[in-house]
Amino acid sequence: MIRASLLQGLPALDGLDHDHVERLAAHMSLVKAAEGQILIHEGRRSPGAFVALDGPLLVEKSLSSGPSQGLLPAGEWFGMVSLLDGLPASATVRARSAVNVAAIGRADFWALIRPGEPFGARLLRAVLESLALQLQRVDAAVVEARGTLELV
Amino acid sequence: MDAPNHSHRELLLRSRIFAGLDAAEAEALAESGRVVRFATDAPLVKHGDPAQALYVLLKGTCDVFGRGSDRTDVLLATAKAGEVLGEMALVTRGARAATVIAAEPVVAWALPAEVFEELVQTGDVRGLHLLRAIGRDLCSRFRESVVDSATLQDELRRRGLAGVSRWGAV
Repeated sequence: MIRASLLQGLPALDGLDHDHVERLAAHMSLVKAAEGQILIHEGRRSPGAFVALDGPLLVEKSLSSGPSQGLLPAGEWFGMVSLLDGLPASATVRARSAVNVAAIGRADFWALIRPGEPFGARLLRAVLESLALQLQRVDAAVVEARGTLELV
Repeated sequence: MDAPNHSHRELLLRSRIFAGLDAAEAEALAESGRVVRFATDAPLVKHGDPAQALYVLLKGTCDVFGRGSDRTDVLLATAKAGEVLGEMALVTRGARAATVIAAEPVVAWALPAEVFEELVQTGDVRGLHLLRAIGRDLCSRFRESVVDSATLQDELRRRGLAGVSRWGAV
């Protein structure tokens, strides 16, 4: 378990009240990642879901044209796409510098999501909220990039 | 707005959001929403508006537009029958991030935002099912968008027009 105070106020947990954050913290562990350490491997199923307590983290995506890089801000979930759809991770996540990460394993996460249990539904919603916001950001980048390319 | 009839229910059961529900749960979820109709060019969702509902397209197609920083709308996708629309703002409790326009006469099943909230907040089995289905949908769209974004960012960098992009989930 980790201290709930590490999680309080993070964007990743918007919608969870103090008690729910404490309950989640009891199921999470703290990972101290060294600079350059890979937390998620592209092409492998994510072992769970993670919240970056420091950041940003480096995200690397393989494309036919070569590797592409992006940044993931602190305070958000990552690893959740592979957690939710069960497919291999879509990109590699690497610590850009020494960082602390809160982690919950795949089985532990899904054990918390039970019918009739508001905590599980709110946790799942918090993860989806983070995913939706990140998708909105990526879609906005697509719109911007297409606009820029049309202008030149 | 009408309650879904037998034909609507059959179409709903084929949509991804109802997949995996047993007959009683599917019936209960279908009854939680209403059937709505939109004429060609009518907006189902407008950028910046608060979320009123999520939609499952039963008939017709819709164009989905994203808004650039210069406030012009750019076509992102065309949604077909069976697809879910408008769920992102319900999940984020934020304003609509896209505009969705009926490309032809559209029939859709609408689940009001307040019903969605109640199902989620109480941990109702239908709420959990909706969240899981929306999650699968978001994952699929996220995977496609990340490839699009990374490819476009690389093209911009190749032309000397962009720096390091901000990504998100993996």
